[in-house]
Amino acid sequence: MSDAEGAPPSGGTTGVGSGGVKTEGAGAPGNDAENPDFINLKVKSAQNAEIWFRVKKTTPLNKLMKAYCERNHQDPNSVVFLFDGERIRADQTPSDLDMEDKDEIDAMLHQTGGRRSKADGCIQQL
Amino acid sequence: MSGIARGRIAEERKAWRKDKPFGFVAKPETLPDASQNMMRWQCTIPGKDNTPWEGGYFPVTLEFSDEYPSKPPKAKFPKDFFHPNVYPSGTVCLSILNEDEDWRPSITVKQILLGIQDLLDNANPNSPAQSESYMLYTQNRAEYTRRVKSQAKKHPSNF
Repeated sequence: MSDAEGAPPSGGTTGVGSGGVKTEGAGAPGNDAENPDFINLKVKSAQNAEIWFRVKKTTPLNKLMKAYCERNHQDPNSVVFLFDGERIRADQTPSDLDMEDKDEIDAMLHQTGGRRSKADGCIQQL
Repeated sequence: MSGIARGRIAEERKAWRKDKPFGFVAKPETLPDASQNMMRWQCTIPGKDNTPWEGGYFPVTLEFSDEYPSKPPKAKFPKDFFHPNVYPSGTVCLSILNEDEDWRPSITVKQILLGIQDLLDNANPNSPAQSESYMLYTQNRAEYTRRVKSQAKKHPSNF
């Protein structure tokens, strides 16, 4: 198949963050067969910029999402993380979502019609 | 059930998970008993930015047969989807999805969905599959564009 990717270059781990989430340098990490509790996940932006994270399968993805936003200097409320088209909730873990090593997550800029700050939205403005 | 089709479909799904175009979705349908139907995929194709299709996240179903990949999957938008090269049934008319034309077994799901995304804003008026959008496309482009934009609004992102 023409779609098969060659082995990605091994990225230097520039690990930050503690307890389950580590960001990696550019490029996919190599296969981590040594610890089955961890997987590597790729977060892709609309500009196709990719950041790799090494996460524990049982750590809530909240941690990954926070690390991503910090790294990109983005407001966590302005980014939506999607896996297989579904929004990832803060309390969900990679295990909950049946994520596998090297799976891909989309980081989308959030947009809503109307206002997000108040529960009753635009009606208050009428 | 054909083992060749199954194997290739599983391979396609695996490749997709590791490398998919941004904003797209392609996953086997989940049945009521929570099992997956690998022969039928629910997909989402985003309209391209800076086109009247922008902002739309269009649902597409891919139906694979036992003869896949000798034969292409069938791609379907919802019924009455507004596009000159989509049949009233929703079936996409595209050369790479036609075994008598440009389909090749090496074409991947990713290439198919990117191909359909490209077709959205590059309709081929020489091969119409429905009359309504074709008439507007050829005779009243302003109204055609208005209808495309309104259709995109009807398919917003679900987040």
